[in-house]
Amino acid sequence: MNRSTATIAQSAAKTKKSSYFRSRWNAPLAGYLFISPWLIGFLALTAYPLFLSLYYSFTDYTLMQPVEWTGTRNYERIFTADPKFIQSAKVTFMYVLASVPLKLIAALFVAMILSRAVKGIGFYRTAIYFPSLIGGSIGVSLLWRNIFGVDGIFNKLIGVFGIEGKGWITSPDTALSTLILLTVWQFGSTMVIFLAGLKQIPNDLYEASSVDGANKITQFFRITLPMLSPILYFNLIMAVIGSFQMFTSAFVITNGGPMNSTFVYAMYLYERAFSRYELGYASALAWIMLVAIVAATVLISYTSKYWVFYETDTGGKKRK
Amino acid sequence: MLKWKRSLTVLAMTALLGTMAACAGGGTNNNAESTAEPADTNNAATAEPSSEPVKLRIMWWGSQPRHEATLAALDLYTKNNPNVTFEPEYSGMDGYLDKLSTQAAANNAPDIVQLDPGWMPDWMSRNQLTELAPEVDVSKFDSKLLAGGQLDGKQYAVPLGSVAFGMVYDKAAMDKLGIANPANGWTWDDFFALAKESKAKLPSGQYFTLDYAGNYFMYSAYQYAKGKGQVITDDGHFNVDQAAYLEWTKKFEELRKEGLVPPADVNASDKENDPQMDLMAAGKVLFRYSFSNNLGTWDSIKPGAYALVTMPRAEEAGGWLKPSMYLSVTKNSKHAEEAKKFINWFVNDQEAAKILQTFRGLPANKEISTSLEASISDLDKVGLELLRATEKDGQTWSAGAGGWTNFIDKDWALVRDQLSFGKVTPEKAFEQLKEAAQSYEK
Repeated sequence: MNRSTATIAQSAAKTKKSSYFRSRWNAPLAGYLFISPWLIGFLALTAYPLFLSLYYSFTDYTLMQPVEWTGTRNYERIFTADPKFIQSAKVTFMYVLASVPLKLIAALFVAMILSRAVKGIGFYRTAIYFPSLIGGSIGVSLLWRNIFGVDGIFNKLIGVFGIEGKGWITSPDTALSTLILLTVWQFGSTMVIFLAGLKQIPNDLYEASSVDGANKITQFFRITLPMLSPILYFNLIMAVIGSFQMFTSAFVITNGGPMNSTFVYAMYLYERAFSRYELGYASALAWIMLVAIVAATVLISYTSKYWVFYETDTGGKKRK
Repeated sequence: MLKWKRSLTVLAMTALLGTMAACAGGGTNNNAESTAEPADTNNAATAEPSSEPVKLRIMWWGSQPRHEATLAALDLYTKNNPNVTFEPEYSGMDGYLDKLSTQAAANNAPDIVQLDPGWMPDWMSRNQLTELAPEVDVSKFDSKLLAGGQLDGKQYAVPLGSVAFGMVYDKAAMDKLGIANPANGWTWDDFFALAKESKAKLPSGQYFTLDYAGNYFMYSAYQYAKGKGQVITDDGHFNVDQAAYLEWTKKFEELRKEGLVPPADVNASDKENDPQMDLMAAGKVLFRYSFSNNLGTWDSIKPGAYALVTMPRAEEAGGWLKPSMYLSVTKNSKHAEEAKKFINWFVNDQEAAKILQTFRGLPANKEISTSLEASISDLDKVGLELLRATEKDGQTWSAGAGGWTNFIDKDWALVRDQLSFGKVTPEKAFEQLKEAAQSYEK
């Protein structure tokens, strides 16, 4: 008897479950249909190539030759016998470590200036935002090459002050800095987000603190920065992800040179994939980069609870 | 505030439009291809002379005179064959192979491509090209030049011309400075002696030659002249002669110390044939290597200033004759038939030859080169002179082993920079090259 009741109960549960699923499915079906253009695009153009490249990373896939499964050989070779991997990873880390903080500082600084009411502010905002619209393009890279070349405008400018310039993009010790400068210059979108964040900070906080005698610097560190920290957090992650993938300017302006001083990771990946057609090996490199980016993001998220302040948190209450 | 919002909207719209334009561009391309496809299969089935509209993509590198001549030839072909139009993609040499390789990897290479002889082994062995017979007639071609485009007895590429590897010098500047002109048949000893001699006469900011210490082609010429053979053997082995390499790099180390070659950052900024970035065009160096057909390009920058001379020699000749470049049809071409017909016209037709002249070297088609020599311009005569002077006992050119392109383009270039910036000793440079070569050895 026991057994039969159990079966009945089970089947009842089953019917309930399936109708539950049907209703769960039916209701949002229209929703899925509406997002289907995006969904199909995502599956076909992002998800599928993504996992295909994971598969290729375990093969010796070269163009025009049958694919053969080689297990972890690509990864072993990368980590044990590839000096270019280490070199390009080093350059990329240097680039990320330098360009991200500089870009955030520049963006925040300009955002703070622009958040005040100044005459003609609309023009300044647009003008300052503009470089980040065209920033990733080949044209700007070519422009950069001409500005910082041996006979570039920059050298002519400092020549006026009697300083003798050099080939900034053709010297190994300054080439990377020149590229970092280009990245920092493109702080527009970061700046716009900061600007929105600054507008959200209630004015009474500043008024109250100035009544209590806080000066501008104290206000910045005690009010502006904490209130802005969620925005900072977002911008930090976006900037880190973006700069890990840096490619265009290194490719166009310096082509990785001189002396591989700007040979960033994405360029090495490109060389393996499209000059040597070793797509399996390049896929493995790409996945290592993905893991590195994820690790960096997780690390930032983990530390965020120590420095990101949300307004819903009650002040003074200790958070875990 | 409102203003700002509005301008943001405008910016967002611009960005959106940009994306849409990009999408639309892709879309129309696809349409064109998909409508052309059935027409093509029809042709193949009925084998009738095609009159369906065909658009051929063709890609080459070169300088302005070559671009103009090629475009004129394409126009003429379209005039004679109204159904065939072209989508030309042309540029300088800088970044050409990168672009082409990327397109090829995406199965999107142009129908017709111009290839450097040095790339041929790779492209043929990777099966990226289509056999040209029987549409392309190569019966009048120099067999030595044909060989570079053959694999297993099949012709995959047709040579466009023959050029000599020599040097170009700024004759006008040298006459002005009172530096003696070199003569054909001069030696490497003469070359370095002339450098030393010019030291007192060169004003600051002007140099004798480029820093060739780490230049692959110049070192190859030196090793040949020393009788030590190829830098990379035909069967794919690293064959840099240590003694010759150290001699060469140390001689340039001296030139560097004496300021006879540009400082490293200036040297690295050089881009050959770029009117602004070429150091020779900018009047900063007196000598650089050149192929015999390039005098026209130099001359278009500064008319009458430049002259050619043979590559210096030692025990053996330093220079060689080589096919200037090849023309091929790529494997994924949807209009291979039409493309081959066009190539046949491009290399065999007298009218085409008149337009193309010698911008790709002295044509490899003997009949055409003979008829051209009769009506050749003064400028081309100088190039021809270098060609004849090099021909006598020049080195035998070979396409070399496949699979080393990246070594020459990337690994050799790294050592070149390190030498030029004085970061490695010649001894260390040699060790580094030898080590890097290991992953390319057959």
